[in-house]
Amino acid sequence: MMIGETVRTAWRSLLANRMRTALTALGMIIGVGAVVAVLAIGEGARASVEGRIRSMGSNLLVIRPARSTSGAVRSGRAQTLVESDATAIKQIPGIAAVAAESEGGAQIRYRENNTSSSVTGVTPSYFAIRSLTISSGLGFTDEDGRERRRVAILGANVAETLFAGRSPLGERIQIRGIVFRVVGVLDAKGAGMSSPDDLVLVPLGTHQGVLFGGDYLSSISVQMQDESQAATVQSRIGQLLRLRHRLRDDAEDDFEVRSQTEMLETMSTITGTFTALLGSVAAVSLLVGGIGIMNIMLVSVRERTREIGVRMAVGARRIDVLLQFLVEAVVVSLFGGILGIAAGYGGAIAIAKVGGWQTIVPPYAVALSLGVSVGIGIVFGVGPARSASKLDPVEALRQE
Amino acid sequence: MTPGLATMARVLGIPHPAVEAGSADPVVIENLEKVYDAEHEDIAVRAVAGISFSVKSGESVAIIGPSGCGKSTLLHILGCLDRPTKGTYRLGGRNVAELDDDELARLRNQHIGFVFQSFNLLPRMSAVENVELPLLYAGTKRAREKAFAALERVGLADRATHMPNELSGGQKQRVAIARAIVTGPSIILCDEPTGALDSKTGREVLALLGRLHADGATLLMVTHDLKVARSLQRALHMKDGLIVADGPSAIVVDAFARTADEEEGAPTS
Ligand SMILES: Nc1ncnc2c1ncn2[C@@H]1O[C@H](COP(=O)(O)OP(=O)(O)OP(=O)(O)O)[C@@H](O)[C@H]1O
Ligand SMILES: [Mg+2]
Repeated sequence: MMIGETVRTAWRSLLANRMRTALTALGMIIGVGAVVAVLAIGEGARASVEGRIRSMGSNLLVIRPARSTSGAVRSGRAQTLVESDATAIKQIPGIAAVAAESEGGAQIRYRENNTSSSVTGVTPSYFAIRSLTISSGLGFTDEDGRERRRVAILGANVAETLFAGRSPLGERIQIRGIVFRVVGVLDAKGAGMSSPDDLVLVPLGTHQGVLFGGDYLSSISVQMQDESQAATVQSRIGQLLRLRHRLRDDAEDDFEVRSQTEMLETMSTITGTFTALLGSVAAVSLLVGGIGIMNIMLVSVRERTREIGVRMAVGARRIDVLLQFLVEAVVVSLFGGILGIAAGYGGAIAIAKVGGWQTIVPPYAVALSLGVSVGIGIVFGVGPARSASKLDPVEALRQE
Repeated sequence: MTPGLATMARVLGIPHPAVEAGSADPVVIENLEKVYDAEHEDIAVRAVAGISFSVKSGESVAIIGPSGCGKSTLLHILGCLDRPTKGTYRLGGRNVAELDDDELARLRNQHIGFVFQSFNLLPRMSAVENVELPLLYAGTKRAREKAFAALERVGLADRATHMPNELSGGQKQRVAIARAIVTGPSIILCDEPTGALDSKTGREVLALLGRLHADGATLLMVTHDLKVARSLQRALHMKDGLIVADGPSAIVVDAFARTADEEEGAPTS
């Protein structure tokens, strides 16, 4: 029998049991929908992290203190970088700009409004290197840092939280109980991990001298003149810092220099792992959907034993019967799969709307879902279909 | 046993399995046996207990006998729906025992038309789709057209698109007959084709089968209706899985009617 005819026959017998078919397909709809939605979340996270890293500016190298390990236990980052390291690095040829940063979390208050935020001490070059623009007000000057002026620039979200739409410029806020004057607000960059929208920026000198104390930096950002020099510049920085930190030849680096590409790789590994994890949880529901299909096919074979007998009596071969039921299983699961993709799309949009996460349904998720649907139909349909094809014609006809 | 009948058949020059079994005949059966539950001695049933006969091309043969004597079992084996336990069955010269499942399916499709007492139409398919089914399995071109032609032969062209539940019993059986003949089989096997019909529609169906036979079809029919059996050329009388008489239907059926009268309880209609 032609495959077109077989598909038609399958579709008709599925239509004959609409409710049952719909419920069976529902298992697949939920499974495929969940997988598609999870992949969309993963892809969205990847894209937003990537966008964030890219938006940090091009030709960027970031230097951080090395993760110190004592035994097998990670114990945070050592305090090894200081501002004079940044100044020294600036002398290396091929470097366009250097920014020193120091991070710390703090309570921010404006009148009765409270928020906790990451407060970063930065040098004036920070804004250009990280491609941050100030929507209103001014940036910092070198004097601000040198004189430890109590001025702050707010990320867009922080400004919104504290000032609810009013202009914060010139207003006084408290950071760790110390009064600061708001001199600027950053342009919004959009949601994402460690978005500058959630930052409060203060001059580096103020950060170290007034807010948190200590000379240490959390990172140094370096902008190269040309990305092609990355390797050379990276190794020059390494040599320089080893020298400055008086490391012996056999000592490990107490810092790490990472390029944007490396950061992208790390982040995509993380989001990839996270997606795979959630995806495999979602895939369990696909398994359940497949079992539902198998169950219904077993019932169907039993109910239609006589039909099978009749078909055999008029010349159906075993392979014809097998294909008939297999195609039926595949049609249900593919039907469910296609609706599941639609449901996944819908779910992704809903998650983006409600949860505020970026979601992108990657094209491969659609192809994958279709393939998996067909696969599930085959895997879970082949057992019942084989048992149908193994029936003895005369026994099958005897069934009431 | 009624050995007299076999003798009579021989005297009258009518083919009898013991006398001759032409290998060119479409159906040749030798020492055929079917034992159900053969592996358990105590409950084993010899439904067909060793029979031989052959059917000539274009012949019409009635199979009669009391309930449970093995008529259906024999017909199922002839229809390649069941395999014999012992003995040989040649259909169109081929030993069926040597064929695999696919080849048997092909025989059922191409060489055998089976008509059931209970019609066995597929309920979700229209009349013409039911008739088309064997052609689809055969991969025949212009199947729909040929299915229409077969329906026309059974006088149901105007009911082609009706579903089985929209047809009367007689019409259903005619659709089933159209399905049986649509591939042009060499034998048509009917297991009590009028058993589920009232006498009027039964007569219509029999008239149709009679026309098909007149057109050259080879017909084997299990029936309880002795009038019907008499109307065919030849009759096989079965008892306890054996053929006890084989000859011209008039003679065999009359003899069967007499024994049935004597024994009582067996069908007499
Ligand atoms: N699947 C089976 N398993 C065991 N015994 C069976 C089976 N099918 C039939 N039989 C037995 O085989 C014998 C012959 O059955 P069969 O159906 O051939 O009779 P029949 O001549 O067609 O009877 P009827 O006129 O009532 O239809 C009976 O004794 C029946 O009980
Ligand atoms: Mg019977």
